[in-house]
Amino acid sequence: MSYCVHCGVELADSEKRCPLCHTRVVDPASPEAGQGRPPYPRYEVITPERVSKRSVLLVMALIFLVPICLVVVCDLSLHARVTWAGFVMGALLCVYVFLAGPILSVGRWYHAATLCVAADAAVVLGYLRYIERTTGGHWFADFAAPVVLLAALSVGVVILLRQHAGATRLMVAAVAVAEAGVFCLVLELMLNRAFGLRDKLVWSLYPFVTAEILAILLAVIDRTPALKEKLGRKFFL
Amino acid sequence: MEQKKLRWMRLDNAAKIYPAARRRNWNNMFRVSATLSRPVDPAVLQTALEATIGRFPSIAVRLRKGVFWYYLEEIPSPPRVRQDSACPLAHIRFSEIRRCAFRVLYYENRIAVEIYHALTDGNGGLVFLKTLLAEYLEQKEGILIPPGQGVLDRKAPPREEELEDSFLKYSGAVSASRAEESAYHIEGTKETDGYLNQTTGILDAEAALSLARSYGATLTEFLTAVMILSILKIQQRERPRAHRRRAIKILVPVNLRRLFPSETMRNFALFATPGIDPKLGEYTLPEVVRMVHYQMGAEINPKKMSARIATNVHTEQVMLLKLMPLFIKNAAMKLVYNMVGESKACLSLSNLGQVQIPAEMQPYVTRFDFVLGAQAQQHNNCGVLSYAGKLYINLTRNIREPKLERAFFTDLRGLGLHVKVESNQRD
Repeated sequence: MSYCVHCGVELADSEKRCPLCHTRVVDPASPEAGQGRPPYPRYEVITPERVSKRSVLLVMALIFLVPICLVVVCDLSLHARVTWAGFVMGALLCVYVFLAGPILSVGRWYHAATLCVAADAAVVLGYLRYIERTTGGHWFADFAAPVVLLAALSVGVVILLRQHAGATRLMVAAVAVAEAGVFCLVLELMLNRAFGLRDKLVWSLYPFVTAEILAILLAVIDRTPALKEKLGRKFFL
Repeated sequence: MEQKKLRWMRLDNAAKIYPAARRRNWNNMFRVSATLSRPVDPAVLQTALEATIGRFPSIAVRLRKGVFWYYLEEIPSPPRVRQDSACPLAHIRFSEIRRCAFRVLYYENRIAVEIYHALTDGNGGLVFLKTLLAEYLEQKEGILIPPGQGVLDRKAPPREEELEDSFLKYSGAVSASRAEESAYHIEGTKETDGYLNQTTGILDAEAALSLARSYGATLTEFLTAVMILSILKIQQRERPRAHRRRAIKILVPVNLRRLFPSETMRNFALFATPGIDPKLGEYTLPEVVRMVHYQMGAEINPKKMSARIATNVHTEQVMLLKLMPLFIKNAAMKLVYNMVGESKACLSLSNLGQVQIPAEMQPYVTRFDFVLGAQAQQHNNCGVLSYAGKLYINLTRNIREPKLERAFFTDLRGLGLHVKVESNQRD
């Protein structure tokens, strides 16, 4: 008969440690302490069988193949060549890459995030280039490529800030908001340049000014611990 | 050759929420077990189960899906008895419940029955276990056990009263409000593999009862009060700011068969939620015992209970809800369950009381246990019963830290009760 020196409770003969505080049972008068019949069969670790990422991707590819085949067959039977089916295929390829990145980096998504963003940007650029070539447009180099690259760069900066620079969440939010403002500005600039809309900035100034002021506000709050604490107390959910 | 038609029945009023509230890795189950003086013979247990099962057509069932509601369908043959696993109430998949909604397990000297809560409550489960035990002992030991004290006559056909949904029968004319304050939940590191930790405190039943009486309370009220104070200590440690503390309430199931003349073998229990508000100041044990005593007294009476039954029954009988397809009902019920179902109490403390069995069985049965599974959002639960002068308090948790177990059992120890603990902790 053993007792826990901390909790004062009697321990069943099967207990090697006190179930309440995990103190090991040491009873010189009763060397059989912990050797009694346990109330349940021994616990055995069972490792569940995991589905490999490769098979998930394969299943996904086969599912995507169904609409691709259908649209290609439909397009060929109507036009005897691939026309609009190319857009559908490109869009599905983009979706596949968007999904495949996170699946491949399950468990280490946080570290592979920049790579995923780069891959997503590359496939979107490829798709837009294809659309430009097929439709005979001249907007890829002047408009689509810089906008997509800027968007990818903005997301990349946010991820790197959080991962490597160890920035606080509030600071990351400040940078993201500032980037969103700049993005609006660049977007209008590119639209004007590529399509000759206007020779000055109009609508983008509103989100830009708002976003930059908000970003400065967030950064100031982040840098002022007393203010941060006070606001946290007032606005907690 | 004439084919036997499989009996089917609607889920009772309390059961309807369980299939809807399920999670991928959680189903609401409970367990009753008996420890014998000799090792269990699995072959005899199997034949005993085959002989017993016909007497319990509301338990020998599987869950089936209709267009508007789930229903229970009799199983054509009893399940195989199985060896127990390392933890009680090991996860049962929903697909398994749709094949058979209970299981019979054995381990060394112990026979356990784990039942899906949609079939019956703890009292119904205990009657099933006692009847199964009686049949097992008759076959194994060659003794004759007369029906009575919770053992049913296996040769008699099931009576209609045993299969009725008593909620519908005893529903009052007026509905009671469901509004209640949310309660504190103990937090901790969840076991990743779904392991259910069980810690059993074994006390002298007479000593515990005498102590409860000295405080002017029943044993359930006394244990509830001690549990409330144990949780209060945990909350005080984890939430130092008094104004951020939440109410501490214990869900105490009430066996309605004691209030209404029902003989149903299906669910027929409601609950009371006695508790305290920690924001109001410090509490002493006599104070909490008194509060629990009066709160339960005010709540547990036929009039109040029939009004609460009416609330649930009236909801079920709204024609618009009845006509909704099952998948919409499921989504709505799950949403309601997630928002309010488990938030009104810290945990359940269910006391099956003193287990009585026929004198002929007593030399062969050394112990009974009642184990409640953890809930979807509440990490701890507590099942209590007493047998042969011992009180068995089974605390279960699906988190790693034994915070409540330590606080509760050391508090009982501090009140002068001798506590012996036993667990299924992993090395």
